[in-house]
Amino acid sequence: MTQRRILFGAFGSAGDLFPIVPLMRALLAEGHDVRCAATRSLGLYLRTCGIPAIALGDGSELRVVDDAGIFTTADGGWDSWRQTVDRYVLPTVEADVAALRSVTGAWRPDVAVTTSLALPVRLAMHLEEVPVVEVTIYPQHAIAERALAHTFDHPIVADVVARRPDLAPARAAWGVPSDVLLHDAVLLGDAAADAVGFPYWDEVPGIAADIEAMDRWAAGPARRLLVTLGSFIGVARRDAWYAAADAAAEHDLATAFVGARGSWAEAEFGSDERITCVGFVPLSRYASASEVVVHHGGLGTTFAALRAGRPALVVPQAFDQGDNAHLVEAAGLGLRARPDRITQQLADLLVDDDRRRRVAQAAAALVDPTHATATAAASILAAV
Amino acid sequence: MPHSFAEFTAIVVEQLDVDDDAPRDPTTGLYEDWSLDSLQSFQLIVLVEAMAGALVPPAVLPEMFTVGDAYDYYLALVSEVART
Repeated sequence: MTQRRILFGAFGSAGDLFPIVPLMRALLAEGHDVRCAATRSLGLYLRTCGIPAIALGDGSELRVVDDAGIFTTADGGWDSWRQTVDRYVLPTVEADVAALRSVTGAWRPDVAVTTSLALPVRLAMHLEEVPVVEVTIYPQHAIAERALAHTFDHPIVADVVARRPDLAPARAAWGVPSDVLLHDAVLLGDAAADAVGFPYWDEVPGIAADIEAMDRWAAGPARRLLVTLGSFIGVARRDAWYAAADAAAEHDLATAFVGARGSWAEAEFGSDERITCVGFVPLSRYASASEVVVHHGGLGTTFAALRAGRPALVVPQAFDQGDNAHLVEAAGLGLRARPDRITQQLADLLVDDDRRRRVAQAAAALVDPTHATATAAASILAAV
Repeated sequence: MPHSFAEFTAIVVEQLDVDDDAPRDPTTGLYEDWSLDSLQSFQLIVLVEAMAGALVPPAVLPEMFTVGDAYDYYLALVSEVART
């Protein structure tokens, strides 16, 4: 086996990083030299699982929790994607490209693997003429016309396109068309021709006190509800927590709020004995203890609920979450939340045994994450 | 030129939204005195590494319990960046 140097690139939230962690770990296990360029906040996750990190940006991505405008489902998620790029990627893209070219000058990758928003890695590797494999969890981005309509007018993108006439603008900017789609036919149906499956992963160690609290919640005698808004949206958008708390109270459910972090959560819900607030805990460990999973529609969380065989009540906030809510509802695996009907929708899901059977069947039909990982890793190595 | 302890602390207090009248000694406890929660503790690591300009952060996450620990980590990173 020839050892390859493989540079991954990730930008966004945990949901953008976690699906490629199994790919990186599989390639490391095969003996390849793997590194990942990611925002500093994502680098924290990488370092907990032993993957060498190269820092992108200046940490400003953490201010997204105070950036209310980002949290919109307008324009099919493109509004929030475009804002993310404009505010958090482009301001440091030139410095990031220069830094990456400097780092990879001493460690030249044989192939780079970039995810949708990892623009600096994509551009740097195109300039270095390193083969790039585009991996995405966003089938929405495959609509090249939409990607082009949102292509940003940054000189560095124009520079790359000018130097690389073989590179289409949508490919340079958004990595479209992608080479590997991490998704599953259970949700995508006929649109899943290129999907290799979803390499679900959430093996980040949670804080001991949170794990203990969740273990108590999962072992309790009451009917249980798990609510999550992902790794960061729940810190910024609190309305969904209050709506879930009201619905859970109506049905007397012991409720776990996963990702409701900070002193505000303690202040708001600390006195409610029905509610357990924790930070990150692996959903793969706890989702099956819930009768229904209320979540924001992040793709990883969507698959977590599905893998656990639990119907979902999806409360989309931004990005692809509206699309994922639609996919879940269209496949009969849950409901997209209607703002004034959450309590009734939760009631419907709690008693719908037919739907529960449908979700169990769908869970059994999912591509095994190990197989998805192997397929994606093979595509990466084939590009060398 | 690295930030002095006072400069470093002022930046961190502002960025993490710590109370202005909170203590700012090297022995000040990040959790006991500043009441940082888990999200803020991660933000602190990101902030310190960004301030130091560490492009390849250490493989292992640092343990910081006091403001002095955070400053020591910052200085160590600055030295490492200067060396490389």
